[in-house]
Amino acid sequence: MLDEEVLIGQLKDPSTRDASYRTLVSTHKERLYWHIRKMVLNHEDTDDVLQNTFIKVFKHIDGFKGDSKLYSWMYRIATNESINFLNKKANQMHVDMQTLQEKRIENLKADTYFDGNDIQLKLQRAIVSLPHKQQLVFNMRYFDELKYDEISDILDTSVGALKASYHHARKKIEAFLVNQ
Amino acid sequence: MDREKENILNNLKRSGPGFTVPKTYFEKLEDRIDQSRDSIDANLQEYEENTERKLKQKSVFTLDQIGKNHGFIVPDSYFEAVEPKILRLEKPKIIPLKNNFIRILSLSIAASILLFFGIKYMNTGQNTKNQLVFQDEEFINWIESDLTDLNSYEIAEVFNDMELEQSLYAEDDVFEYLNSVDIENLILEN
Repeated sequence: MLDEEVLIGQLKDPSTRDASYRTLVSTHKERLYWHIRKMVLNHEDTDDVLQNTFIKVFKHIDGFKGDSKLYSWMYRIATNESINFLNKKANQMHVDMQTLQEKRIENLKADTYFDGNDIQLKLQRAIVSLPHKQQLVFNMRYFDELKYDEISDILDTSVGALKASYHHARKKIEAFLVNQ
Repeated sequence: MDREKENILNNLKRSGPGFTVPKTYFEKLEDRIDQSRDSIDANLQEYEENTERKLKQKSVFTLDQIGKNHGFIVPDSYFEAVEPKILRLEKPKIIPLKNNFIRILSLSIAASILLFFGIKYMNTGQNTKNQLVFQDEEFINWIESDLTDLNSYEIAEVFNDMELEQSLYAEDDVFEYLNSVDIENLILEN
């Protein structure tokens, strides 16, 4: 894999920008897609949010100072784009975020691009019952298998707080699976 | 007197506390504890088996049993197809607009809002001595002078010294709005 610093340099250099954009998209599209998908839930909306994420990346790459890793910065943009998207949808429907997510979970039953069974659907219900930040932490740790220091970089939260958050999230999900 | 009390206490101590236990009590005690423990173990096992059976009946699974498959899928060849689509976005087709146009547009919107509220409040309540009262002749002159059809530039001229706060319309929002409407219609309308 191309060294991150080299890639950032190439992205900022107009003569190498096009080729490095291709590398960037090719390298990160799938990880970002799945990160967004687990928040937004349906494929079409994820596709829109993914494209908006890359537009923001292209637009602001010159201002990227390298304080965090490039992929952490992109994950953060994707997270913000997903949250903004869901907030807009909730406002349009005049419902709160929790209700919106529950509705979107119910829509999964008829979604062509969801082939999970009842148990996997129940797991998704359990996840959206969590506070929003715990949802993020759970998805990133459990499904994406990111390390705590990587999640810390993305969410700007201490590793200790993330460990506690993940522990609580797991307990609540297990209780939901047993009791509901 | 003291000596007599001491003798009584000594006699009591020698004769013991007076409590007794059944014969072979301590020999049988261990067996009885073992029996109780077996019984507890049997009950516990039965409870666990019942719970497990009930959980299975309810289709309850733990996270470890569910695994990490979330059930989401993507259309065939989606990731191959999305890449060129994203790369086309690298140079978004934004119609170049001069800053003046954006400024005038913002001013027009602000002026329209002010005009709307002005008309709304002028039309409420009864006339009082302090309010302006127009004569019919003034209305006719106003209409004949074609002053009813002020365009955005004229409105902007009136509010020439008005500064809009930057945070009122974020640049991204203005571009998003402009991309979502037909520019020609927008110009014609304003």
